[in-house]
Amino acid sequence: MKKFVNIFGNINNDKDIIDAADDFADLSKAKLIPDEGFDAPLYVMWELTSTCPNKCIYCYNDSHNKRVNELSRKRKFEIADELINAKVFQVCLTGGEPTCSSEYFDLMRYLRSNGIEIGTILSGANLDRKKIRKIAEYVNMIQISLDGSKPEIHDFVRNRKGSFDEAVNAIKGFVKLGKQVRVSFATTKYNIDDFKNTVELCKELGVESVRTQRLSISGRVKGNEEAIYATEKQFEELEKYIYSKKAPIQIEYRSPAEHIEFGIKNGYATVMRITSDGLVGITPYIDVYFGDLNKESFNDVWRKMKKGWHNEVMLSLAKEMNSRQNGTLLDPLTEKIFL
Amino acid sequence: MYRNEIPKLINIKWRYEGGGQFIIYQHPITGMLDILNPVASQIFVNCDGTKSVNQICKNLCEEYSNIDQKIIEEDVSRFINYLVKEDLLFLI
Repeated sequence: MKKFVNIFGNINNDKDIIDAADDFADLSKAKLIPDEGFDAPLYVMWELTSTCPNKCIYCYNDSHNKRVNELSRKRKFEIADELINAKVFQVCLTGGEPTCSSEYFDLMRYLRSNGIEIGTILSGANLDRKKIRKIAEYVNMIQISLDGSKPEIHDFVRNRKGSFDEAVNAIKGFVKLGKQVRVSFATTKYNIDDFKNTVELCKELGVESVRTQRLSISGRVKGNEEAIYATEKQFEELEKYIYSKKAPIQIEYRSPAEHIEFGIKNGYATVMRITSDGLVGITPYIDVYFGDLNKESFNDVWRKMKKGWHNEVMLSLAKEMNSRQNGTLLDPLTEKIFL
Repeated sequence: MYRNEIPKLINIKWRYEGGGQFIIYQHPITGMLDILNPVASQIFVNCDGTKSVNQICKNLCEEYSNIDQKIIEEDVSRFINYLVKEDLLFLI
């Protein structure tokens, strides 16, 4: 999420980490946020499909197979029109693997040509030079997942042979076209010790920055924490490296709990998550939904969720999600909840 | 700033919030979002390349007749200077 500033205030350039929650609270106190929340999300995270050639051991939304009620092409374009009319500022096209959606390229072009900034999160799968060029033309923010410096590590975590080569080739392809590429690295016990080597590789490949964080206990990690989650000692080593500032490129190490803390503190939703089957949530890390775009309009659903963080049930769940207070988010649910 | 100059915003993505009271806009280069208070929002939409700085001040003085003209002129001037500094506006 972008940082907000009061137009007549000052940006604090001394902070290493910008606390958006505090800035937002200032804006709220200064009555710069409408009382009822924003008229539309500022940012939408759209999971176009749950299909994915990979079956990552840590996937937060359990992607691999297509879901039964995935949105039709027609409905996807209707939603795109609603996003355009609502003047959403940025849409991140993701999945699953978004390139597995037959609407991926068309939607990207449609949204961008109607003034919406596009981000995308890719694994590197399904890409050739032509597709890379097309994505580079329309997308502002490109994030590629790279979970190791060697095939044996990355492919193991992603559960598919050949996925490392795809990711590296995709990175090379975008960098060659002059695009800024961000890499994301998921921290499991199997690859976290390879983070430094992965950063070095990213430097060689011309990557702009690497982002990493603690995994959330959701999706495939739920119930398998011991088998997948890195140990505290491993996190200590990771953080020692990150805070040593010796990395050759920028590392973004943020807590996934930040947006939960933001929500708990401020109440306002700024982000909308749309799942492949049209369900609308406020965070990707828990199956709590405010509506179903198969049956409801975008505006109707947003109206229900604009102060969704302060919905009694959501607020209680948010606090429970953040109960470990160490940046590890925990999804306590055993089934979906609709608010 | 010369009072007869005409402020003209570049092509910026923005929208109203709170029933038209506020404006959120996105900086086309940095991608940052800014929120404008109601007064700044009015100045912003008036910078459409058709009104001089003088005219914009006059419009606001009519709107906020209980505010000293000098204060309004200072606010308009400060905000327009900010937009110029951010490369969001030209003075023609």
